[in-house]
Order: sequence, then C-alpha cells, then structure tokens
Amino acid sequence: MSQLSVRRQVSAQTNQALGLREQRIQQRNFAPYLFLLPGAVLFVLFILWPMLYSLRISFFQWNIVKPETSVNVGVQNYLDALTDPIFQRSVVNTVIYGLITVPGQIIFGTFVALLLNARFPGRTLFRTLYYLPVITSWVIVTLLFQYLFNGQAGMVNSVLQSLGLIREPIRWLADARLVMIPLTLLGIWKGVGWTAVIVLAGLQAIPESLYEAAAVDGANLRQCFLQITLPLLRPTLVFLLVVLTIGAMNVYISGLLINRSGNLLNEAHFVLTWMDKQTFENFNFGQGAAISYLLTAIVFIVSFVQIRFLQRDVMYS
Amino acid sequence: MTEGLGLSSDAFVGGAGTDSFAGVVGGENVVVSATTQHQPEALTWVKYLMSEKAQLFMAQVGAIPVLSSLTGSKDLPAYFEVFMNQLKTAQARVAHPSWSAMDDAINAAFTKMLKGEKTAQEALDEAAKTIDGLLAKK
Repeated sequence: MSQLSVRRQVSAQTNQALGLREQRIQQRNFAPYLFLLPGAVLFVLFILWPMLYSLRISFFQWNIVKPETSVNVGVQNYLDALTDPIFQRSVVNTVIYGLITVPGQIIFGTFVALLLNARFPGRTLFRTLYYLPVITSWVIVTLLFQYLFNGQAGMVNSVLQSLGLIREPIRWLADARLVMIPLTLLGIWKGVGWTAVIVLAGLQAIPESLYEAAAVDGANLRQCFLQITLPLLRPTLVFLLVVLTIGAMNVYISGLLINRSGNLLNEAHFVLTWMDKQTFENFNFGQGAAISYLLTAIVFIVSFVQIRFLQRDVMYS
Repeated sequence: MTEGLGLSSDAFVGGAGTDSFAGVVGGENVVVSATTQHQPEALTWVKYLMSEKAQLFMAQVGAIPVLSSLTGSKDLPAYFEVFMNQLKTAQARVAHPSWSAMDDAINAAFTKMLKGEKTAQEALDEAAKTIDGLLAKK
C-alpha cells in the first residue's frame, strides 16, 4: 500500500466518522427543539405576531371594521402623539410616578428585607404578610384606595380632619396633581413585598464570614451596612432598579380605574391609560399602537442606559 | 309626569325656542356604515325611521320624536309639547370621528369654569382651540 493510498483511506475514514457524528448531533438536537415547540408556538402566536401586527397598525389610520380599507399615514401617528399635549402630560405623569415609586419601593423594600433577615419569632408570618399586597388584584386594591381617598367620606380625609391637620376635606381624586399621592402610595405599598423578597435573597447570598471578619476588625453596624451589605447588594439593587422602572413605566390598571371614575380632564393619564383611551374610547387604533411603540422605545432606552452605567461586578475575595 | 316632581316642565326647558337656548337632540344615532354591502337597503331603513309614521310608533313607547313637523300632533301625549318646542333650536351632537375628544374638551372647559380655575371666556376659548384643531384634522 502506497503512502498516498493510506492517506486517502485515513481521510475517507475520518470523513465517514465526521459524517456519523454530524448525523448523531442532528439526532440529538432534534428532541430539544421539539420540546421548545409548544412554547415557541405560543410566543409567536400571542406575543410576536400581535407585536408585529400592532407595529403595522401604528403606521395606518386603522379601520377596525374593515382593516383592508385602512389608510397608510406613514409616521403621522407618531408625530401626532409626540405633539399631543395630553400625551406629553401622560409621559410627565409616568416619569413622576416612576421617580417616586421606584426609590420608594427600593428603600422600603430593603428596609423590610433587613428586618425580615433578622432572626425573630414569627418571621415567616411577617414575610407572608409583607408579600400579601403583591398577590392581591390591582383592580381590588385600586378600588380600596379609591374608598380610602374618597373626597367626601374617605377614611384618609376623616383621619386627617379628626387630627386637626386639615379643615376642609381634600378632593384627592379630582385633581391631577393630588391624585398622584394615592396612585404612588398604592404603587409603593403593592410593590414593597416583592422588592423585599428579592433583596432578602440578595442578603442571604452575602457570606456570614464577611460580617464576622468585620466584627473582628471592630466595624460597627453602620459600617457593616455601608461597606459590606450595600456593595454586595449592588447587582440586586441594579436589577430591581431596572425591573421596577420598567414596571413603573407600564403603570396601567390603577391609573385606568382612577381616570375613568374621576373627572380628571385627561390631565392625570399615564402613557398606557392614554393609549387605552385613544384606542378603545376614541377608536384611534393607529394612534394607540404608535403610543405603545413610543413607550417601548422609552423603556428600552432607559433600561439600556441603566444597565450600561450601573452594572459592574463587586468582588470581595 | 313633571307635576309629580313638583316641577313645571318649564323649570328645565326654560327659554326653549328662543335664540339664547339650544337643547341637544340625539343620544341615539342612526348611521349607515361606509363599508356596508347593503347601502341602499340601509338608507331605506334610515328613511323609514325618520318618517312620521315610525316616529309616532316610537312615541308610543315613550321616545320623543325628532321631527318638528310632529309638533302639536294629537297622537302625541300632551306633555311632549314642551319638548317638541325645543326642537326649534335643538342641535345634534357633532357627527365627527373625534367627537369624544371634543366632548372631553367641552367637559374640561365647564369643569374648570365651575371650579373657578378659569373664566368662562378663557375656558371656552381653550376648548374652541382644541376643537378647531380636531376639526382641521382629516
């Protein structure tokens, strides 16, 4: 056998082996895709396709009865939204809501998590109690807050009056600025439990040995918190900041109910409640879709900036 | 009907038929959809609804006619008369795709007036500006 033919034979064998392996890889890879299929089908059907469809709607003066008669208006819906004073006000309201509720939830959530991380009897009970608002329905707690902040017979007004803090009842739900108080309080109250659970998980990931070492070095409680707890919680807090900001931008149900029941003259809308009204009350579907996409863009940019500038690894070793 | 409330019907339709007064006619509207396949038939039905005959049928179940030609008709209950007189100056709501936004603007103007945040002139000027903008759009 010449050298050449040996080489040929070897290479043929290699090729055969490679082919077999490829075949095996294909066989092996088939099953996972099959498992992914149901999820992927649902995702395409209920998320991707509606998203792309509404992107299309956003460029039309959409006729919901006969979509084929819709008029393509290019980016006019986007321009109309951006120049609409009600939309601009809704963006301002949403930003204010976020600026109050995001730090509110993080600060109170961290505080609650620190308390719940301590060892005391009934700890599980308190963890459950703090989590309760999270699993309640937005509709029900919004209605409750509407009762509490009712302008005439609300409990908040009667408590404030009996304490002598106010003379006249305050019409919390009839003024676009005042209504932000019940709305943000509701947002914070409902979110603290979830935030606390996330922070708690972050706290429990911090090794006890670091605190022991700090104690040996004579660090006090405040130093321990500032030098160990906070820096090591950083990834958790950045995660919370991003997720809660996205949540705040998407504030919807509470604003929807309060805007619909009160006479707030379109001044207390959030982006999504205005989207809802434009779409389902004014039947301006193209405008509604455009507002959704503008919000998506804002959320994307804000999240990107937050992650880009805030996320960095902290290592103590 | 009105006597039972201790009110004369003039109490809430005072000034009917004069220049300074305009009531609203409508609430229920009948329209022909632009995309219907049965436009002539729909139109025939609308015309029938607007006929005196159909309006008198409706009156039997308590709907006040919208045809001023029926004012004084002996087929109508006597207490309809004051409302029929209103028709002389009554206005229909604006038939426009942006009507709800216009309604919002008018509502906002009156709320601000009643809360004392704006004078009637300022509030209505503001509403007029908003509504002009809506009318200018196609």
